[in-house]
Amino acid sequence: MKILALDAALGGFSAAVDDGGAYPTAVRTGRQDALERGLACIEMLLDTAGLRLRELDRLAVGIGPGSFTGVRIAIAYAKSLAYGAGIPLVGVSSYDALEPEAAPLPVLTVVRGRRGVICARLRDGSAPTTACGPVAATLERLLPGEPGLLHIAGNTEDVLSEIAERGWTVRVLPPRADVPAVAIAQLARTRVPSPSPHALAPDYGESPAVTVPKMRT
Amino acid sequence: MLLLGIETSCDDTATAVVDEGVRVLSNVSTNQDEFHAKYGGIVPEIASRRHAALLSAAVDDALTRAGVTLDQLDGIAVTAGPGLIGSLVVGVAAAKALAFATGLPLYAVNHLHGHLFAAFLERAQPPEYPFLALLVSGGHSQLVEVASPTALRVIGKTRDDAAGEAFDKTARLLGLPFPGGPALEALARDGNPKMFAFPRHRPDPGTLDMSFSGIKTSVRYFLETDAGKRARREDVAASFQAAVVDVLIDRVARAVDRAEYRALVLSGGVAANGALQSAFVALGERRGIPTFIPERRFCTDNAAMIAAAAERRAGVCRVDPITLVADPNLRFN
Repeated sequence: MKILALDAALGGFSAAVDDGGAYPTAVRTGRQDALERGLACIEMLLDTAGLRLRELDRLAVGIGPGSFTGVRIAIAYAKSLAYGAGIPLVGVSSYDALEPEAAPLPVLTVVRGRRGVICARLRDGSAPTTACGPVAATLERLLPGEPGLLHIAGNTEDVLSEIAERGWTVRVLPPRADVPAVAIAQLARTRVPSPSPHALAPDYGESPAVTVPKMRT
Repeated sequence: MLLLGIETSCDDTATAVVDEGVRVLSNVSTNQDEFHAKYGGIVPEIASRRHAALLSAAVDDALTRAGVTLDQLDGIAVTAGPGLIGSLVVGVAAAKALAFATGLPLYAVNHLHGHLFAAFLERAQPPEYPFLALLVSGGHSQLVEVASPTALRVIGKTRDDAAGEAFDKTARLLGLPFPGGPALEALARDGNPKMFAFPRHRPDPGTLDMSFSGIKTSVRYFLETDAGKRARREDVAASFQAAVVDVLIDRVARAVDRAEYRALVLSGGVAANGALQSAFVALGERRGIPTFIPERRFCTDNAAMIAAAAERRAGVCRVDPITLVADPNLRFN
């Protein structure tokens, strides 16, 4: 199966082409140039792989949470590419992209959001729970019980000391892949595509901030 | 050319298919007013989320309604600015990727140029060059001399608020709901436009500049007086509207005195205002110059006008889909 994956939610833009070989080819750019350089990255990857867009079996995109603007750009790219080239589209959560394969439980996967805000998911064997907000409040919601052993993945540096201060014994897990788009390509193999590219829904994690630009009167 | 237009510069997710920049085969717009009304203004984060959710379906809808497929198109036209950055990037990213996926040419259009060429939509007899356009919206108020599709010159503009902005702010002073412009116009219908004389801005000698913040401020001070508190809101709305229309029409008249134009075009969201339309048509009749006002659906933000502008300016606005970015402060020229 030939897959093109892209992500702009997790700190910069990344793209990967998995053509079924030993390891996907991938490229990653700086923080805020998904709009300026994203398509150039995709074009370069396809050229390197000797593939045309229409030859892909599947397109995969990170749906967030993470950077609001990044999520929107990646979703807009992915929907247009899938619609324009007639390729099935698969959405993959940032949590899945960051949590390593077969992670030991309980595992807390952390995504960096706006300044001072994180989104996190806890899996402890029962149904996963997620929360977004300031670090302390988010940890309070996800880790209310007695401290014990906790595995953490993702943007762990944002929460490490805070969790340790709460008495947890913390083990940091490596990410599923160094480049988010590589993880997304791997996961997309076994996912069911969106019934239509238009139906793909992003996950912003948080409700929109409702600041209306001030009117001078 | 058969062009797909995409416009997401503010809060409307708009798509259209237009043939030769004139015949509108489809014109899709999902108005977001209901999502913003409770906040009393446009919330950028909500607007851009709606664009991301709806745009690709709106593209599909425009093609379906037009009865064409992607491979029948000759190109894609998208608004690259000016506007809200979070809204613009969604349209630009979607248009870039669609052009990349299909191999279609991509045209980057200035939103304001779109308003100018809205006057050509669904017209058997389009305006002749050179024409003078009064472009009035919530974000802009300017007079543009259009000598040819690629020779555009701003010859007068507002020094402060846009005309539509003054409408919205005054509507708020009168306690009217968002969006304020249409609500104020509706209220003014039952009012006397000569009841109160709000000040009309006079341009500096030799210029065609305008100002609207003074009118709005004087309404505000008036409403704080005893007379203002007793005044009928209908009369205040009608008198305010008359003052704004007077300033706009005065600047068009001065421009027409200075140079020969073969047509007068009124466009932008505020062009949907009935009082302004009547005064504009009357001026054209007095001066013997034909007037052009787009249909209401082409006055407010729409994607058909973006395709219309791309058609006429194809030579100067074709871009590489790989490198196009959005520019919230895109300059007029």
